[in-house]
Amino acid sequence: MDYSGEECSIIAADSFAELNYRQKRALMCATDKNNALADKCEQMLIKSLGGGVYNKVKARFLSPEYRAKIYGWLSKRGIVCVTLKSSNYPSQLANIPTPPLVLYCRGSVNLLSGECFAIVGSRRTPAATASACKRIAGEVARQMAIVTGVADGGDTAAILGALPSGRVICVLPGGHDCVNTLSNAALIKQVEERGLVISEFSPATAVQRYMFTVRNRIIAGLSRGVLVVSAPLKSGALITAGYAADYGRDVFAFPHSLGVSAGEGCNNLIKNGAMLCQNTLDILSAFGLEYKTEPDKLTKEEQAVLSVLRANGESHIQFIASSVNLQIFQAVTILSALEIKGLAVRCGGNKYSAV
Amino acid sequence: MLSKVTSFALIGLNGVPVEVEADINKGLTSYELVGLPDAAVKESKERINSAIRNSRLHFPVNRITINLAPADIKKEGSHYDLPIAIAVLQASGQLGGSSANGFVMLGELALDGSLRPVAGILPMLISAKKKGFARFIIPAANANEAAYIEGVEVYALGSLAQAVGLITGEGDFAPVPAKSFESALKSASYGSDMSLVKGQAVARRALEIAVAGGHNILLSGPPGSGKTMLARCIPTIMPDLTFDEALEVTQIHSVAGDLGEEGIISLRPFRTPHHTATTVSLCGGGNSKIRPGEISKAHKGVLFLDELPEYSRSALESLRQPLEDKVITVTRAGGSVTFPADFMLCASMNPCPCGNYGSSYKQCTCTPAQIHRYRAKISGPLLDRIDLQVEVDSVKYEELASESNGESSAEVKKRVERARAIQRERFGSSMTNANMGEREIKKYCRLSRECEQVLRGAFERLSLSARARSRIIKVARTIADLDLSPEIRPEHILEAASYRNFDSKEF
Repeated sequence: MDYSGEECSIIAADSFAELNYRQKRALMCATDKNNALADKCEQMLIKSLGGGVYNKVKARFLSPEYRAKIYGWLSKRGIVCVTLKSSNYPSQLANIPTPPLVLYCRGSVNLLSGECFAIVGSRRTPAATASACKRIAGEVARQMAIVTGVADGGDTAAILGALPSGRVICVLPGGHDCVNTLSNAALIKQVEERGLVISEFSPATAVQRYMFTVRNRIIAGLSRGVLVVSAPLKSGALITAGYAADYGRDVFAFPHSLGVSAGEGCNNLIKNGAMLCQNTLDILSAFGLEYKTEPDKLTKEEQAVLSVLRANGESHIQFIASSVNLQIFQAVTILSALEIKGLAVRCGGNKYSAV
Repeated sequence: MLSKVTSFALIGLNGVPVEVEADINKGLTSYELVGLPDAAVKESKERINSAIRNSRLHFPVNRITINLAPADIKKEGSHYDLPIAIAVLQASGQLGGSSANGFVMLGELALDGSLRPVAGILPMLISAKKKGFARFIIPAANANEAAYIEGVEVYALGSLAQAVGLITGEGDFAPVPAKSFESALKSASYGSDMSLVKGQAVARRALEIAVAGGHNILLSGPPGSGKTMLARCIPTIMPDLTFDEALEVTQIHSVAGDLGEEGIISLRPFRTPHHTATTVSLCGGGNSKIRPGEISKAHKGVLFLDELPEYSRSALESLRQPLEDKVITVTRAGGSVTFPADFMLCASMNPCPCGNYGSSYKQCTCTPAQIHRYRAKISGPLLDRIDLQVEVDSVKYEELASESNGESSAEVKKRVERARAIQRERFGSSMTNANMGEREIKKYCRLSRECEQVLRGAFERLSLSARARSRIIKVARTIADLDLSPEIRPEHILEAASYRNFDSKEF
């Protein structure tokens, strides 16, 4: 991978783990002779780092050997860098207050140039919600790439929905080397192969608590809108929604029934003006995109079972069977068929719910 | 004088004839017992001495040598008391001119000369009969065990004196009358019945399928949902034991020494080892005498593992090979023994660490990662051998209190027997659908294009892992058999797919 001069200096500056975001930007400015602010930046760095440290950092920053080492190290890991100065840096993201200097990417980088839509959810997402999330992610992915995190529950459902199309971007809460420590490592490896996994942290950075919040601004920043599928009152998904609102993106939320703790955050969002999302059309129409559905072909019994599910919400199989006058094993068969068609979902305890 | 009496030793379930030789010589008073006796056999000297004297006979005060031949097999157990005592009496000329030849003797002596029951009578009798022995003397308390073997003359006696009387012809003794297995079968009954299970329609159906096809089953459900009760119903819907099967089962329990009064086991065993069970207690083992473990004791019956994830990993993994081979070979320093272990595995577990996932009343407090970790305690290869995985849901109070009963075990059993008959015809042996290998699946489970389509759809939508495929097909075959359908239809595949909770990658 060849990088231009500007890109090279950003990558080199970003490699100093001891510097914070402002110091990295100041370092680039201080060493740029054409920049009028160079002296001021240098003063600021000497003040915050101390002269000795600054001189050491500066020497390493400018040394070609150091830079060659960094590039070799990155390319050995199969990581491609998209920097703030790169032509393919997503313009949406560049407009947020603190855009990441470098996006370390693994997978199909061209996804960054297209339109993106974020879907996030909490770890404890009810089965029916997860299934709906998966379905919507798959349908939206046909038109926009799905951006999401890497957690269990809502994020995983979004990934699973979008993965078949390959149009999915996962944003890591740490460097790329941290993937193996995540519970979803196997799934993320699949995303690397078929979609894109990005991180603003240099690959060796270990995950720390604060990074999740910092990461959420990228999820919001990359996307035209954010769908929150599930969120209790305190949730990372709400932080993402907050960023999205700050950046002027559309926020969507699934409605949840009363007393479901995993949905209180979503209902709050809707109360505060987020758009209520019931299906894919709700999302795509907000962006003026077209959406066509072909109705599923159902048998009479399937139709009957489905209407029982729609009418009663989460229902026990025995109730379903008796409502449509079927034997248990016949009901099992029909529900299994509905499940395969993606219209029903098993919620544990032999209960089923319509999607 | 020299005398010889025949007895038997047990190696696993195989009996080996043991020649008990007694020689009485002039010389310093002594009593030597040779031929690899273990502690129980060595101690027999004192019992024999007292028993002989208390039977108003004379214990010779000479140089006595007892040899148990062949000398290279370890002799264990207390059943050599009787043959040694008889050999001593014969050698000292107290049996008149009669000889104990032609009798096989087994029995432990009490100090007063009465005979005590011993373990392992049935397998010894069966092997002795095969080797051509026909007349036996055994303790009276073991009479029931011997009553089911045809073509042998078994005398169940109460004391040493009676044994002497039988040999010398001084008393009138009748052999044990034969009993028919059918009457034992009729008189025995299981404690539980399917009609006592309230609700649980899905689990009932799954049990029926599991038993019909010989599949292993995993029940997952919140605490108190009735998993154990359901499991206890499994033997009640299994086909009755045949006489040969019953003999096999009884032999194992006879060796283990836990045979009851009836003498034969006519009910299918239901074994529930506790989750602290070690590998050895499950598979069998022992220092010198190798004993059958729980999986052999569950032969032809059900091995119920409650709270599956709590068992030690090594204990669970040790089940893998016997589940495939239906036998277990236990090798110890003392030798190697093969026990049959053809059991149906029924396991139960909570759906998640807190136990409330899917419960109607309580909120589950576990994260998906926790649930995943809990379920991952059961290894893939073991899960591979469990064809059906069903959820048992918590029963509501109204259901518990309701009068309406489900089908009784007898009705379900009829359907199971019908499905088993179809399988017997198909495989020409006692093989069941669960034992089908890839070749049989290809031969007997041809899928129509429609079925293939449904199966593919199930895999994609339900994120099933690849290893689930052949299991779904096998279960679908059994469902089709229950349905009396010669070919597998799409609805059979759909139903089979719904019993695969644990294969879904999302959880």
